[in-house]
Amino acid sequence: MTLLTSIVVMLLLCLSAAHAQQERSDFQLNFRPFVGSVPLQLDTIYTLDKNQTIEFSTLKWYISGVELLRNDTVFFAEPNSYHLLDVSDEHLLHIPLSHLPSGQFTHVRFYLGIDSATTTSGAFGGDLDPTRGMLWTWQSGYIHTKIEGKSSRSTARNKEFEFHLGGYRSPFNSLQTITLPLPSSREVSIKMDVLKWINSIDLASVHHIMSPGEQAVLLSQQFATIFRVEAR
Amino acid sequence: MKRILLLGIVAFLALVAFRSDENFSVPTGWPNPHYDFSKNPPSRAKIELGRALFYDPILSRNSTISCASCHSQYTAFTHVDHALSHGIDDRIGTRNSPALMNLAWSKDFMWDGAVNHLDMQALAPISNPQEMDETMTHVVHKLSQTSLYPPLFRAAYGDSTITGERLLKAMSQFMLTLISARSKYDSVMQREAEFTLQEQNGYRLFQTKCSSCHTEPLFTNYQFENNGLPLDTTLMDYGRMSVTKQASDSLKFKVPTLRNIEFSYPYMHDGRFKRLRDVLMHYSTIRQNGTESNKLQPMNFTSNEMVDLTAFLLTLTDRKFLFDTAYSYPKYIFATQAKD
Repeated sequence: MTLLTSIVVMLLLCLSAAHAQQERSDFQLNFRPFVGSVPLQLDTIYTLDKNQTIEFSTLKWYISGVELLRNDTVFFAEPNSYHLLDVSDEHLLHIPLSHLPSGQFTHVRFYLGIDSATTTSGAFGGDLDPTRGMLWTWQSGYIHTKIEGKSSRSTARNKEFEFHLGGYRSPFNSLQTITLPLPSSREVSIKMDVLKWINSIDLASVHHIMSPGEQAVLLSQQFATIFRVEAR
Repeated sequence: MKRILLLGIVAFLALVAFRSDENFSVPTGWPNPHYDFSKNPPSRAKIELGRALFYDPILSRNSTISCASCHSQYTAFTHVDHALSHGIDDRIGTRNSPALMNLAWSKDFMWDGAVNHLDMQALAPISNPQEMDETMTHVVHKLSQTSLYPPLFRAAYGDSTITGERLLKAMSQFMLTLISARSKYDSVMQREAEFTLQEQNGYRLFQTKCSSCHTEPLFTNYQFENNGLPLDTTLMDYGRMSVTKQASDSLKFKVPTLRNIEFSYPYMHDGRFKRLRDVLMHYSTIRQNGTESNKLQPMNFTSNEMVDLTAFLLTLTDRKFLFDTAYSYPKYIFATQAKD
């Protein structure tokens, strides 16, 4: 009897494991930064119109609170969803989502940056760890987007530009919500034309933003518009 | 219904347990702390790790400045006798280092509240070029190269991995233990002692003139207020306004606790007053400067009142806190290192 029971239990366990396996379909978001139509690589000089040049030395940004939507309802919300994307390493440009329930979803929604509640809740590890260099120190808060480089358009010393965009306090909360439609594939590329963003800035007068404020909010809003799902 | 009741009881018990365990307890009559202990549960090993870090100059670029350099226990964890604190290479900062105590009840840190959580506080002095001039990434690297710290992190966290989060949370744990609640004032409130007549007069005066900002039992309302100090034009420090960018916050600074005020001189955010008497003179003759607290009026203290008030303020001295060996330099930890 005991033997029989344990065999039945074992069988049930195997079945449920197989079932779980079936349900666990993975999905991946790949972020692909571009300069116009050319893939962006760090420390590479790109020539623009009128012999102007631009190069990037740092490009990092936080994506958090990733949710998959079925039309307007949340289909899946990634737990503990904080990702630091970083162009310096190809491996740091992907967000894999696992343990998805089976079924279709139509949109992805995420924050560009780290929300206020997290920002005011103390120290965290992983991609939020203070050693990642994405925290301001003299004033608390995450740098949502860090973009540094040089351009002939900049009037700063050494033609540099540095944008550390962040801010979690009203009225200078620079967190952005981005919603994008998804194709039905299980792997989706999100293209970001960083040139389009930098073209919206007059680098002759605005080349350094290192603290929260109106400008940081504006530039964050503009950065949020460059995310596009790449058609396959 | 039963389940809800049970949940309620469990939640209540959790709250009660929260107020007191072997490592942290809320003094009688005090409000619940602001710090969320559930995100950083106290343990002896973490507190001792935090204590070692607090006293170790390894946190600074050239290993000359520790937290304790500007926050010395015998002066209620502020900088002995310095108006503006000096850090690495004798560089001078722009503010008086705040006294450290009862930090679990504080919502914001720094004179202007620029730091929003105790865990994040240590980042500021570590990175400030005038203070420790270091980076968290490099500190973590340096600590991992020592023979001292990996075992301390293992004892605290179960493995020897050193991260910024672990470091900051351990430092918070030590700082959270810095509770000053054993002054004569506290004994009087517990009916274990009595004020002298002079102290009693001072206490009455304090309650009518000072307590709306320096609210008992923590002796601060944790708000930002303009106490009528004129702007020091050599520092151009507008306080809270630099954080909120709101003109209404101009010249507002965090209301500091008055506990251990006898030892935490010099006073004010820039240490401009050396003596308690200077402070009382300021409040006595205050002038308008724009955004001052509406609670503030010239107090016109008589010299007798000043003496009474001072007598009361001295009852806030907590010698058990100032000399508690649990807060002092952890010789027993560093002694092993000296042999290396």
